[in-house]
Amino acid sequence: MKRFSKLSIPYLIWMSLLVLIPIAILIIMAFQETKGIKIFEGKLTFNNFKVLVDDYFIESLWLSFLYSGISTVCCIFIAYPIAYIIARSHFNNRFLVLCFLVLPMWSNTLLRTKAIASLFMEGNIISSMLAKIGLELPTLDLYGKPLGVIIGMVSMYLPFMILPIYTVLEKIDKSLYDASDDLGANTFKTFWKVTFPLSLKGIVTGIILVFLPCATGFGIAEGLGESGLIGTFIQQNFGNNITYGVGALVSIVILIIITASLFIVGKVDKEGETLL
Amino acid sequence: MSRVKKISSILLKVVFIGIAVILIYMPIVVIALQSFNGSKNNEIFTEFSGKWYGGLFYPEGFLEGNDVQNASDLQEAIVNTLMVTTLSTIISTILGVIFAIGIHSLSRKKRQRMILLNNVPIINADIVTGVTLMIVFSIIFSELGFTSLLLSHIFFCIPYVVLSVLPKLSEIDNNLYDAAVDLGCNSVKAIWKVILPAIKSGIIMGMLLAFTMSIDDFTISFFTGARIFNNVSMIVYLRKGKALSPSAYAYNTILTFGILFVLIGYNIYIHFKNNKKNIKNASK
Amino acid sequence: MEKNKLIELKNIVKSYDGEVVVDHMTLYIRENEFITLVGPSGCGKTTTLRMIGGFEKPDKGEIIMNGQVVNDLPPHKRPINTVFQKYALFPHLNVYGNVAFGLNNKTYAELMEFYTEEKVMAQVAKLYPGLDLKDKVSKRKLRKSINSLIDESVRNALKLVNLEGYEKRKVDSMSGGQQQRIAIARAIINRPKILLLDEPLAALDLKLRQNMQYELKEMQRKLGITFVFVTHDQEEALTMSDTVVVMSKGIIQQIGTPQDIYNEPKNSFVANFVGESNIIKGLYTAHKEVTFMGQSFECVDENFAIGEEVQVVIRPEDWDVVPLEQAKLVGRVDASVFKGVHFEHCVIIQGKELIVHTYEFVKVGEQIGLNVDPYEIHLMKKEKVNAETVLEEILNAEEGINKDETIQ
Repeated sequence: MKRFSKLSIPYLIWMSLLVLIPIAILIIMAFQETKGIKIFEGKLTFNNFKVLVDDYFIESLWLSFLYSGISTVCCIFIAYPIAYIIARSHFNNRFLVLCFLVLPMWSNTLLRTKAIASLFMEGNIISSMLAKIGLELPTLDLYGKPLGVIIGMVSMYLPFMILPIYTVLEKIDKSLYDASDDLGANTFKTFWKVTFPLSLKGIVTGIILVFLPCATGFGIAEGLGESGLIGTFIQQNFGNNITYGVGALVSIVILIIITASLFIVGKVDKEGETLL
Repeated sequence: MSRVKKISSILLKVVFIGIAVILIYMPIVVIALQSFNGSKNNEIFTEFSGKWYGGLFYPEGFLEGNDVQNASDLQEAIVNTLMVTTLSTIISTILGVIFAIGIHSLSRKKRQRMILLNNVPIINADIVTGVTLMIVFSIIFSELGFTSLLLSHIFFCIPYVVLSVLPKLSEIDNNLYDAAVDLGCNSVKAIWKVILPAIKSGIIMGMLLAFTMSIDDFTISFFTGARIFNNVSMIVYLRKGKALSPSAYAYNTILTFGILFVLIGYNIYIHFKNNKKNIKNASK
Repeated sequence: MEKNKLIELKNIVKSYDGEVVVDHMTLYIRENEFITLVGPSGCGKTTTLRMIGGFEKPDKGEIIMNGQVVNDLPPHKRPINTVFQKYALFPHLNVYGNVAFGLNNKTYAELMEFYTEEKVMAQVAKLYPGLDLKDKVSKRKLRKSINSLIDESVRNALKLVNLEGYEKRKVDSMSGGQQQRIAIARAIINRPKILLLDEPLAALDLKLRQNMQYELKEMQRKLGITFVFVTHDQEEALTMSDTVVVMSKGIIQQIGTPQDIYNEPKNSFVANFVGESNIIKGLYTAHKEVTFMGQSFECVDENFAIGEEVQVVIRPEDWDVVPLEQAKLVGRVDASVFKGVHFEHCVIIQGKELIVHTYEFVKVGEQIGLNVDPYEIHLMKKEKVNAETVLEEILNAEEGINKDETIQ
């Protein structure tokens, strides 16, 4: 089938056009102080770089990483046991597991965020319904609080952690467990010496799939009452403020982090098996 | 002793699965409940009512006052969303399959490099993808809108199709294509008659993923045209409080469970078809 | 009787990524013969087959058919069909669909030529009795008749491979041996002039493989088409073929009948690859006399100069065990293994290990006397490489075979 390799050329062009060139433009824009996109008119300036030492920027970057980091860790600790339980149980129908995990994704993210947010506020549909049958629920009052934001993020991104870990665990040859058993390892040792190292690939993919969107998104955090994160910061620069130069610079900072993650993925998963 | 151990292990499993189910499904349950709420005030449940479902299709007949306008705004956004999603799913599936065949035919080194490039939109932060696409599209087009939105959706959907088709391509027998050519097919015919049927499941999977990613996208759409050509996410983002018609909850519930039922139905159909065949073969 | 040449390879060179896989190969294949390309993996046999089939183009040289160079002719335009290594059956089609695939791909005109007008008209007469054939027969009726001919062909092909009644089965529900038969039926239904078989028996177990070897040979005789067979199994090659081509490193080492190859190996590679051999350094001391291990032996080879250094090839089963006092060579049995029909002894004579096959049991450590008949001694010109490095090469190559299998 060698002759079909030409079919990948249009894709290469298309991806270069929409991935590489805009990044080049982004870099040019970072050195210009323009309103809107006028890359050929602006003058070279380093003014945008002031933002990198700006307290507000540093705080939002730090806060984003903090929220995202904690959410990711929570996701790992909840997702791993679940993936492990499903993969090793008799109920191991890949189709149903996928449905279970993908179903929430067909539901609008922002609506789901709003729904969670409503649960964190006084007066919501659940408490109102329970009140009708005489049950009083305490108000959670987590809207805009760090704990609320983290719970919301975990709720939104948990499937993205379960999925790759489950995929890797499911692919582990079952006879490896028997072999380890045979060689005298107990259940815990088998897990620690065989299962866990083999599933690291899935965890790495999971971390990238959860950490990055948590840290850089703005819809979910804003919906949960937190608008001090880096995503909102970029959005404002490209939105109402039209200070594109600043937005471009901050995007580049994020892009550097992402490039690093891309290389990690390229290292652990050359053929892109665990991303799905 | 072992009984205690067994019970505690089951208990542990139930607790973990329970936490996951609550975390993942609570919002969907809340949305479903809100969609049946007679009041348009989400916080107070008055009675069960299907009017928001009616308002989804025929606002004037089921709703009154402001609600009519809100619901018909939503209607427009839903039509926009479905249009962009359907088109981008179809186009990205076709292109994705073609590109995947191309990438599969590359030498190992080149293939790995292309896969790396293919993964960029998947791993890249939506906000950076959105910003970069906005920059390119605002240079190419005079105004962002339907076309730029559609292109951006095709852009981030193709990688998912490629990624689900590639493993199927490497699973099939290397000589399958040669066999087809040997038996009288030219190259296009060989792809159509032999390769595509062999990778069918990967194509369906990729299509489903593309659909999933497209219908729910907010961040990228925000930058690439949804501010002019509103989609559902944009309406939800923009309209705070009561300006958002609760019909959105109805739409969301129909969509979520509709797809679920279609998929389960399809799976059952396949299951039965296979069973029937097995029985037939066994009786031979 | 000299048969016609069907296809001719002239000075074919093929390389992948700068590595030469087939090196200036010249070979012709005659009508109605069973020819086998044999060699360790990586010797270029499969590549040669793929060039004959049209799946690869040679870098240099010519492939000639009917006096025409066909280097660029695509596979579907050649009167050649292939049975692939892992069969490459189409998973989405049933057995019938797979077998009928080739004929279904033919156009109306091609089918008319394939079946001949006469036969099609006969079928029309059979399907529509009472129809006056002098009038123009409608295209629909012709098409229907051709389809029924295709149907007949499929059934005949399946009958030939003993798979009648399996038409509606899914291919992945069939056993390895059955899949293989489908692959053969799928190829021969097109009545190719040459059938290429790329290690078709490699995936089968021993018993089945032996049966299929016999059946394939039978099939070739019955159909009267040329089979070009590729294998790394020398025993298979000797059992089935009219002509054996031994290849190594992209170069043909020897072409000949199985008997020639076995009895008169041209070099130590062939001697070692085709069966086990003892290769001993010797000296051609007189006309029809060779001296090795301190003893002179009568032999039958003549084309050597007196005083020339030669290599002596003696097959393990060609040794005669004789009482010690009558023996020319006396050694000590170092190890002995029972191989089912015979014993394999490792005998040490003057510090050199020899392999000896006998039907009698000899105790390890005991003395053994050996003789060899003149016609069992084969002499080869001395090569620059000694036998041991060749042996090493073969071992490496065999490891390569195993590696290949695990990769796949």
